Amino acid sequence: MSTLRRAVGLPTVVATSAGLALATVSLTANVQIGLSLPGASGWMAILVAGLISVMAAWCFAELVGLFPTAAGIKLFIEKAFGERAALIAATLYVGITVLIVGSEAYILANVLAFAFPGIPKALWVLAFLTVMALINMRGISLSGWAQDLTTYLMVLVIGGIALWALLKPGAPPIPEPFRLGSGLNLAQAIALGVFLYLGFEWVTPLAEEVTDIRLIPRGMLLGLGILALIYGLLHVGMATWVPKAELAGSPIPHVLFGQAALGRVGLLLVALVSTLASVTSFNAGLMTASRFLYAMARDAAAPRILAKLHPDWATPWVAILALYGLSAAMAVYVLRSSSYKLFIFLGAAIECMIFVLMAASVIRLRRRMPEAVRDFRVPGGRLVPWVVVGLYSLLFVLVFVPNPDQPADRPTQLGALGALVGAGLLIAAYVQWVVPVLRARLAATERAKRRRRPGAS
Amino acid sequence: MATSQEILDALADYQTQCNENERLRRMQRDWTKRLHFLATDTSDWFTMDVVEGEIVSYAAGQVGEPDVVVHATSEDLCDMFWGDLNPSRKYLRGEIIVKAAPEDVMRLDAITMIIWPE
Repeated sequence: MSTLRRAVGLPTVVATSAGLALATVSLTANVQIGLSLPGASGWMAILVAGLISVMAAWCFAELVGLFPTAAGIKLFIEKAFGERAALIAATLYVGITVLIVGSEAYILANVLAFAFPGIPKALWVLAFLTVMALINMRGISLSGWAQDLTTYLMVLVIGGIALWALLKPGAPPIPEPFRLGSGLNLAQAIALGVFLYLGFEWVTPLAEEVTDIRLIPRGMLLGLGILALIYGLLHVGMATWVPKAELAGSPIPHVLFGQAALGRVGLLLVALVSTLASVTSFNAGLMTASRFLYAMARDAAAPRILAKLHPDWATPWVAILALYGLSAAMAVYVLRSSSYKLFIFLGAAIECMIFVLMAASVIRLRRRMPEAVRDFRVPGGRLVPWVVVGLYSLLFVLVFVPNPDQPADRPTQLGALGALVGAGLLIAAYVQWVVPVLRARLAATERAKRRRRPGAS
Repeated sequence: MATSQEILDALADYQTQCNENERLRRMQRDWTKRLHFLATDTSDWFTMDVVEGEIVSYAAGQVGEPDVVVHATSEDLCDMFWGDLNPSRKYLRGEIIVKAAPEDVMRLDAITMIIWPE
């Protein structure tokens, strides 16, 4: 057996899993989760969302053990439900992740404009997106140690600020940390809590680089634990130091908290963490999405132009430019409408949908490929995958259920549902009618091509 | 099923095609890697050394520690080196497995795309 010269170990798997989920928009969404719950009790919804994500992580781990490849989600669904379903689900998932970038850029721009007044938000957005696109175009990705450093630094700074703010002499008392509130509010808070963990599963492409495939499930579990801990601490810290009305109306509640708890130093530290969070998650997101588009184009499932490679850096520059344009358009839309919450609902819904599909794939593949070697099996037979299917289907519905205590969210929920259904239908139509044309063209080219292998017909 | 010799013949042609392609040499000029290929149905291993985009050697067997490991059937390996197969498509279906950093997976696919454009 060949072992890679530079194989990835557990610390990097944990850092990648936690680091990719830790985006600036997650820090803002953290507050949204607790708005309909009393005091600082939102941490419980965050913890429950993290705990049930563990079951989803197990499903991912079983599938990665079965197919240890970066082709990931698309391949898992394809093996279980066929190529058409896989193309629709994977494109929707990657597409919506790219749309969330618009919110990420908007919130980061707000953070930086607050920390360094005088520079327009639009300029921050443009600068951020352009720098990230150029980095991707150049093919620069975070190496293992750089991912470790940034993730653990972010965790230390967020956790450290929150702990210090809660424990320092003269800190205000934590408001109602254990009062649950109404059942619907709690369930909906858990549903939105799923958004905070969006991206932890992006660690699965590391299946091609790890020393031992079992590091992936271990790393995901540790990553989820770290995320639950720091999101919970941050939530309690924000609810303790900043009035809820002020948190609710701000796209940068974490910055307000840093400033309230630690003054200018706190503000700058939180701004630094926000920037790091955006850079790491956006860089990885753009890289994944551009390579997904490239692979689709190579497979004649997307226009061939998206497979064009840069002559010097071997990066899919057309795909990167297309995603840059889409992200910029989304960022401009969010800047004009301030509707970043739409993407939190959308992100939570798509994450629930993907978890349902992953668990359903586990169930289906156990029937279709019972003898296949699995380096990891979800414990408890089929019970856990079925629980994941049921639970996340319910949470998916709850994302869109109108909440009488949050009437202002209703248009946003409707908008998110409309966007999801619209995008789903559009992609389904594309897969149904456009992909077969692209495939037929490729097949014709291949038929016309003479095989080079000697003796081959 | 392709024999070890057939795969070595394919590798010889692959080396010529790659090293004579100016566009590819320019793109891969900073790519220095050792690659291992495993024919999963025959358990034959092959090693290829790339230095600054030039394939400097290839041989049967496993030599040294690799940066990239490719698992595929002997037929797929042979077809891939002759340029008769789109490795991306096989990779997306889990029929070719590559163990490597994402950028190296991309570079490997880029070779096929540049020397045998569709």
